[in-house]
Amino acid sequence: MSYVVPSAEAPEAAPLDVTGASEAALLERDGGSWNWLRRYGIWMALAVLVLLLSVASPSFRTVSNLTNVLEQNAMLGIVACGMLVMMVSGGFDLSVGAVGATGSVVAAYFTDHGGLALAIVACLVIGIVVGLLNGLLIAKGGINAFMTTFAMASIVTGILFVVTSAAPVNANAGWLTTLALGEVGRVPDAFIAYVVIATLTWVLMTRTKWGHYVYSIGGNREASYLSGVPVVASQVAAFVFGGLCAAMGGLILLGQSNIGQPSSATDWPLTAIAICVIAGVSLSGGEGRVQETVAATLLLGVVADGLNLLNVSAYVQPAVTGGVILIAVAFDKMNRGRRLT
Amino acid sequence: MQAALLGGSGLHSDEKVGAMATESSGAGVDGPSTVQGAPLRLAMRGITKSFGDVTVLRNADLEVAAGEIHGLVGQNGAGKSTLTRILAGGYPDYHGTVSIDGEAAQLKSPHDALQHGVAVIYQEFSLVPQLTVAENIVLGVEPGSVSYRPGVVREIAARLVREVGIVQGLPLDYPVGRLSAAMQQRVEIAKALTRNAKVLVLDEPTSRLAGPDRERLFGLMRRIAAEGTALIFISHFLDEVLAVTSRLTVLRDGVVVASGRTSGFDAVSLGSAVMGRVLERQEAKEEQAPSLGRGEVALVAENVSCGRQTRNVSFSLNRGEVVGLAGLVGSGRSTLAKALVGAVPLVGGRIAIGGGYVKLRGPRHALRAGVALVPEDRRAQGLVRVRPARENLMLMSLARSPSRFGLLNPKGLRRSARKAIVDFSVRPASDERRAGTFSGGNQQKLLLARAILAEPDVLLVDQPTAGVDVGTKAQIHRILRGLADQKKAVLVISDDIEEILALSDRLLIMRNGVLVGERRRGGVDKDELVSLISVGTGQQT
Repeated sequence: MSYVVPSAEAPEAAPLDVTGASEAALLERDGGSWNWLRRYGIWMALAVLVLLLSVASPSFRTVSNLTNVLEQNAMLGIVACGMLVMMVSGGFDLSVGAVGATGSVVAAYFTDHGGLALAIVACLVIGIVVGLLNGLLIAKGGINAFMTTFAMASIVTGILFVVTSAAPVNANAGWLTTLALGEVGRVPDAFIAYVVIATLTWVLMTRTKWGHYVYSIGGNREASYLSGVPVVASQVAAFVFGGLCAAMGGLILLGQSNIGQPSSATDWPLTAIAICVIAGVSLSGGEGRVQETVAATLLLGVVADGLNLLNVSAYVQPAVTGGVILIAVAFDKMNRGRRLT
Repeated sequence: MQAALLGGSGLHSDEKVGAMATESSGAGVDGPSTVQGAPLRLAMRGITKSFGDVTVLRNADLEVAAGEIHGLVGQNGAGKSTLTRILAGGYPDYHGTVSIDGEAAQLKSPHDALQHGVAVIYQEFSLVPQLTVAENIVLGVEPGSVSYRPGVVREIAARLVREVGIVQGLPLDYPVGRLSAAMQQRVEIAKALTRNAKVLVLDEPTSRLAGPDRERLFGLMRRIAAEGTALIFISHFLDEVLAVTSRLTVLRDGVVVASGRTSGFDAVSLGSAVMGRVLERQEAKEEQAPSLGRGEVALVAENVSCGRQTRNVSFSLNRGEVVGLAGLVGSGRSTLAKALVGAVPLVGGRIAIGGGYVKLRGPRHALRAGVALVPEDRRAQGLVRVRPARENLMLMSLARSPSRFGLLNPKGLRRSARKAIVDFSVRPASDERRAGTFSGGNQQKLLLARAILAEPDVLLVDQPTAGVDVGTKAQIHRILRGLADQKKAVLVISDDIEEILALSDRLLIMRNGVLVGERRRGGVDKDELVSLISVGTGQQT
């Protein structure tokens, strides 16, 4: 009863191919092996690196160090989840750091003036509002994502500094501190939060129409529009999600230090974009998966931790990060095959 | 009818074609709600669309009956794509009325158009390369409100493809970006058909297909039409339009210049309707002043091939001569021109410039060897629109002769630019204005001036007068003729049959990527040329 659908493995087995030509001849470039490499290459790189560092440094292979790596990178991992969605939609966001800093400062204020719940809500609202503005300007206004989010970061940071006079705001972070620094068994709470958000992102991106549309818009905006996809709404939602993730990063930041620091989180945007790029997320949109983004987050975290334990100067770390990005991008380019420019 | 159409003088050709169209559409058969008996599926009336102060469609009417394959023909920029996009809901700010099955339809978005049963197969495939075939087919009409289930989408795609029953064997799980062009087109067709189209538009569907695939497509179109869908078939290949359609509409410069039953047209009358711009008095004068005769050979192409688009083309260009390259869009003429400056790599054959064989590495190399190309598309390939006219004018000369010590000489550049603007009477005569703000005709003059300032021995000009007013057109013709008089070799590509006949000392005729003939001035008349480039009653080589 069931209809035999021509499968990708055996396209020539299609029933009744009235159009004639053999399917194999019509398929250019088989990408099978490359897909495999793309999916697992970064995990393999991570495994090899962990193995090497475990041999090279006894302090690396301790449980406390490894849980420390998970805890330290959860915050940026969450920010990178949002960045992933925005980049797949064909944009990116330079204001995630400003949102994180502002969210943590505002939340710090409200922990003493209204309680923790209000603080959390206020922080998330800031993320939503900034994301909404970014999304509307980019998707509806057609303004370049770089300019929009760069300007938005400057505006938000500027206001933050005026209001706080650049002074840190003391908080009574309570549960947020547990979230940022606590552990269940030996697993850091922050990492559990990261896994939850990464899983949520995965569900949204692969199991909802919205996520599917985010991919299609990033892949070919015009074709999506002509196919009846709600292009503007979907991309605005992508930026709202990105803002929300940045705000959640801000909550963990507050939990870690118990202080709302206006000058914090400035490195978030570029680090999050770097994570996504290493994970194979296309800068022009349409491609990228959560799984590789998690691997890339851990990879950068392990690199930083390893350099630290091997007593390499902290000043060298940006250069190493830069090298990792270039290697990842060059590798990606090589495997996709070059096109005529 | 043909003689009446083409023979007379004094009447403007538009009027002649218009008169013919009224005749051929039959005496009163076209009622308001039916076309020759079949119910009217689509009626677009008084469609007007402007971009800024440029009107690209003026009061256009298009009627298509159920079960009809309707040809929509016209040159580049005639308004076919704009009309299509309006129908697809892509230009909500059009004027005029559209009704489908007798009901007024407001086409304010692609979603509206889909709701009204309009599906379009675009020339540039509207597929998302990263998504699989199944995902592309179902894109925009996924079931459910929130959740997306890949398995369900795949099943739907498989069922739709099976129901349509025409395009089988699609590899549903492959990303579309990894399929060949022919395969991608099948995906496009499957996608359009699965949207329950009442009106199906095929925009240049054959431009990327080889012979047997074309025939299959035509069979497919007939079957779709037989089920009551109204088909609109857009093609540059007039013989295809004549073979496949039952009625047709001809657009020129945004205006419907002819429409009626296909049987009322033949290759020549249709070609004239599409191409015939009349500049008779002007052209007549030029014909009386032929070139100063042949000079030495400036460029030789030997068996030049660049893929399927251009195969085994051999010819030579002589100094002091204007050579016309005639052919339809897609015949390989523009690819050939690009190959002659190294912008398209040669698959086979070789090129000699000024007596020696050269392997061109690119346009910069060609310029230094003395060959300059004025490309066909001012907007996309020609001018750097946001930079001042001055900089645009000097762009090619800089490649030819790098300035001293690698530094630019701003005063010298300005002087040459101003002189060029005066010499070519560019209006407004400002070298500071952004190139994109000039009118089409003046942009074309800037482009020509840019190439000429580089002092090439061979000038290749692709569509020198597309979208240019009559006065500027005559001026451009004088410039080209003047270049030949200065012992340059000039190759002109044009859609405008009369222009190319009047301008050329010698004609090269291309069809389907092959050179099918060569004629001297006076050795071919308009009718013969039209049939040579469109259907090929001439001998094939």
